[in-house]
Amino acid sequence: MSSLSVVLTSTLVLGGLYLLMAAGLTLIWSTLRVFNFGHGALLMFGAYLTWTLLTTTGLPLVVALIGAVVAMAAIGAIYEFLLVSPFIKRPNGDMLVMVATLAATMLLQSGAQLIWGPELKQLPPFGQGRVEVAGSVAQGTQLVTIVLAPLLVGLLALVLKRTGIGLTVRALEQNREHAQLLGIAPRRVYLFVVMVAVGLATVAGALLASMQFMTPAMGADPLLRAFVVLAFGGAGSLAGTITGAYAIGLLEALTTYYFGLSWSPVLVFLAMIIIMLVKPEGLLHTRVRSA
Amino acid sequence: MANFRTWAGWPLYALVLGLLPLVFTDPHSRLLLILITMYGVLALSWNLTLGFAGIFNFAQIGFFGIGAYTAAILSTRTGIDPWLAIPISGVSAVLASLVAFLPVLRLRGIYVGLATYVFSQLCIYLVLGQAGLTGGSNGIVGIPRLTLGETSLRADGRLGYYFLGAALLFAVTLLVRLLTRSTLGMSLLALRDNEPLATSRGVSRVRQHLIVFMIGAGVAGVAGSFNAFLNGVVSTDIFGFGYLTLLLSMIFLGGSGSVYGPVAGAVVVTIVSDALQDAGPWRDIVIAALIVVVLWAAPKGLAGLARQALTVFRRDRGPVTAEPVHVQTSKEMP
Repeated sequence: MSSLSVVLTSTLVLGGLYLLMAAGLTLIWSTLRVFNFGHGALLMFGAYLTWTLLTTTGLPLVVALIGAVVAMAAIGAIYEFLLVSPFIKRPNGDMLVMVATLAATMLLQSGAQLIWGPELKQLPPFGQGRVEVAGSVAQGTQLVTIVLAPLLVGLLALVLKRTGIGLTVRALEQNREHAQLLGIAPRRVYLFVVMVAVGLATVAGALLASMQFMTPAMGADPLLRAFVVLAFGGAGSLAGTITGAYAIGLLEALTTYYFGLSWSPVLVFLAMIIIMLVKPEGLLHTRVRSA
Repeated sequence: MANFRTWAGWPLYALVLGLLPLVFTDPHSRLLLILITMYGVLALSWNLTLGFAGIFNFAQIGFFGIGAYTAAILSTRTGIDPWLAIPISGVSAVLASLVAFLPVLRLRGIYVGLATYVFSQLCIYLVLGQAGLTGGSNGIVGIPRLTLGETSLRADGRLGYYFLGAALLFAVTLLVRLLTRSTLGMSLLALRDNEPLATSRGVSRVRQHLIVFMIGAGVAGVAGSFNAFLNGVVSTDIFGFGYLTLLLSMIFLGGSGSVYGPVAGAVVVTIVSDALQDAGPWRDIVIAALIVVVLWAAPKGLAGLARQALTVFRRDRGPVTAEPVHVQTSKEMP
């Protein structure tokens, strides 16, 4: 039974990480209609920033993370201002935003290398708890990830459903022109959305950095998986994203267990291609997909 | 006379390419010239899909790497004639492009970008997973150099490699020029700018896009094998972010959707990147910042600026007689 429990734990951990990433990407996609290719680099930057706050101020890890989330939200606002909004209205804006966010990835990665150097760094575990259910063990940061990720995304869903700003986000999502007619200023909503998404990525980064070493390229893998999640769940639907994140987590845990670490991404990508061929609008979603 | 004016530039282009190594004789400048030809070929081939066809193809670096690995594996494991490995690399990149093209069948726009980007990143995992064949993270070393008869192409400051690269660059520039004015090129522009109208006139999107995708991939594969024989080593760096952003900066600085823009971009970016060789991470920061600034300030790149300057110049001289056909640049995709 131990193989099953290993797969179960890593499904929940990976699914949680991908959920934090993909929820932000979905949110950005459904309102701004762009994919943020710099999301992985923002995750990485958030992780490093948490590390800096932790080591220079001696604050508790959780406080350092909250500080990093706030700082990264500000960076996210600058990011939106400089790299997304100047291009989004241009003809062929999709491609320009994609190229600009790829350039941002390069910028952030080299910046991190410049600021934090090549030495290996890692965050301490987020907790000492240990839970054992039916032979599967989760402890420390793994446990925190399993609990925190659905909690935060659930909170996001609640905010979108119940609050005024959530209402405006959903209004823009459904009909941009009509929302503007009603006096909703898209720019403020865009800003809110990007800041929330970057904040979630920062949490994912800190969790990841506490489970493995930080490198400037650490965001690339989670970003690729988050894209597969979007393909699976259908970009633009939070419910689809949640299901997709855990489905991809499960797929990756299974393929890693049975085929090894280097084959697992290939198989996950194959799954993505097949889904895109068979059901381009996403397995769990019905919106027609034409960007 | 129109025909003469259209083609008069080409012998001049060949002449410049032929004379450059006589002007720059030291090994370092020669290497730079070789890199310019290689990047020029790659940027031209990428611009076919990215600029002219408007396909969000971000797998081009993958085709480049697959070409390089094909050449490296063939020449180190099978003892095949290196010259034969070059066209085979092109073929293997074309085969890979068939896989990368699958998402284009049913997806549009940015979704294609997503899928092809994932494809090129996943080439790294494939290479690492097949460590027995590809050397895994160690890469492949000791790739034999190209020779012509008894002379190595490395002789005399890699002069042979320069002429090979220059010949490729000339051929590919000519190919792109011919392609863009052919019915295929016209139909690609039509598809990019108004797909419903183009398909209603009987243009098959999948067919035309597949053709241009395969041509671009084949050229990139050949450029990859050139890179492998030039360096003598291949590693997974070839699929990396460095090449991706470098090439993007060349295409957008030069002007996507223009025939010669990417070549100009390759010249400028290669020189800038070389000047910053010792600056470590700053080099990449400058390249990335360059992309963003060009996108802000001159979305049509150097080619767009040149066209503007030319228009102003012509207006000053009086009535315009033969306004060149503008290559319609990017319009919103449906």
